[in-house]
Amino acid sequence: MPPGAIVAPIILASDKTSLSQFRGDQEAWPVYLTIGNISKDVRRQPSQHACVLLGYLPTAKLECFSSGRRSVERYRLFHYCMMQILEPLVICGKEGVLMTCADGLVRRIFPILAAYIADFPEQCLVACCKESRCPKCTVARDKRGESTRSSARIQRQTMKSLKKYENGEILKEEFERNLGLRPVYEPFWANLPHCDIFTCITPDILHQLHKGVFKDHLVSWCSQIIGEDVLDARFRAMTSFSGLHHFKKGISSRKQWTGSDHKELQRVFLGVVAGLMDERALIAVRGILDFTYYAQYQSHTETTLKKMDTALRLFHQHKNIFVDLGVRDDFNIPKVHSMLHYTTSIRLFGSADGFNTELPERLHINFAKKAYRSSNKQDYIYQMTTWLCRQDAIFLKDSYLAWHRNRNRQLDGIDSRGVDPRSLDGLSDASDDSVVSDGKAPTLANSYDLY
Amino acid sequence: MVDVEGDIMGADGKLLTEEVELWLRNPLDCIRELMVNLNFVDAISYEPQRVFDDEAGRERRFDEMWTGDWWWEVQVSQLK
Repeated sequence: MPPGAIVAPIILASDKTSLSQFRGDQEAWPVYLTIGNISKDVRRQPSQHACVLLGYLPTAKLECFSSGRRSVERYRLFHYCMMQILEPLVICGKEGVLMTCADGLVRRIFPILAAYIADFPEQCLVACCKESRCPKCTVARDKRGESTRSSARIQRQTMKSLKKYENGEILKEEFERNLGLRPVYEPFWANLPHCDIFTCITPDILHQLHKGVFKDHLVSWCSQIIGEDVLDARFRAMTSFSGLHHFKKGISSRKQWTGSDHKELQRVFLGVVAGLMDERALIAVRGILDFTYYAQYQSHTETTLKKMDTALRLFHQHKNIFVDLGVRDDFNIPKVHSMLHYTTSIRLFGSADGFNTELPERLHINFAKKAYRSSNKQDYIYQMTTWLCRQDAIFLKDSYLAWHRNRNRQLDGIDSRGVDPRSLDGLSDASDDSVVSDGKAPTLANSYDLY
Repeated sequence: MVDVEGDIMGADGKLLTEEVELWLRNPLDCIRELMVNLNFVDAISYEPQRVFDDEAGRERRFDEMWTGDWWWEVQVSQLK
């Protein structure tokens, strides 16, 4: 980077979602963009419009391919589309681009892809790896339950392997078994400057810890050991206490779990199972719970990161009890493995709550579901983009007017002789934005193009 | 506001083709829109930081993205 360069770390998020509730397979696949320059507190409020819709990826079924090839072609189509979308970043990431910033200064901005928020299948899609492997490192298929770290995937080496495979220099066996890659010869990240896609993949607390390791695995192991009836009886026997959720019907019959239900369960779980299981199993449970709590910290220090590692080690040291008790043969689970990458990622990109997958899921409501509902359900993507453009225009105009009102009010304070009639419109609900800059309205230069 | 630029890529397998739609907008425009937004003026940072909890500078703090190592590495360490 030349001196004076300002990095704009791009955070992408994509998540496929279904649009209709009862009528078949209307799907949309939005990609969202935000930048790391904006504080994570602002970023995660949808009302602030700090995340913008970058585009809709095709959700075609690709029925023109035989079933064996369809999945790899889907990978390739995804990468081709992403490459088209991100194409302007290749040059700008190298040379920078001048932008007027909110404080009125013009800076040379280098937009660089820094993070990619996605759920596990899409992480694998982005990393071109098989879904039985880790998108961040080259851990072997059957070693994902271990606590040893494997060497990270490196973009340059991965590109070399892909190239070699394309030219037939390495065998299918080696390519698929040892590297666990998918033959996508032109991944979208290949040309992006200063970007290493494998470090870009961020931890996903909601799916990996709350839903994955804790609920789907740990709780079910424990209820197998203890027995569902005994466990439910314990939950019922709890007295209600303010601030704690009382699981009146127990947990085994419950079908729908939300993120906050998981958190409520985590608060009481250790107390509920205490005394019913082997000491070592309890310690393992405690390790997982501690790790989950530390991972949610909004601010970390070296000390808390060390504690996080200790908690994880505690689990790995005592996990074999679940094998001894016969509820588990191995711990070869991608989500258990993913916990190894948390501390590294926090050191690189800040605390994990900035990359929550709840954010894109929340954005779907505005950018996909509401837009879909306002269409007539025919050729809906076209109508959705039109609708979104208009919403955007209204929002920008609105915030410009609010800013203008404020500015006029300020100018009135300085110079009481000239009263601008526009400042007398009586509406004073504008935010207390105290910026005076060049007086230019934010321009609406965005439109969605059908490629 | 929607410019229909021309569409559709063919993806061909066994003589069959399928048309798929890709909707996109320029990421640079998106970034510009975010950078110029006056609502964020208090919540925006243009440079990486190393935040420490103690005066001696041993206890590193990680919270916002600009306190992480990645940004420092890209913007400061790779000064040409």
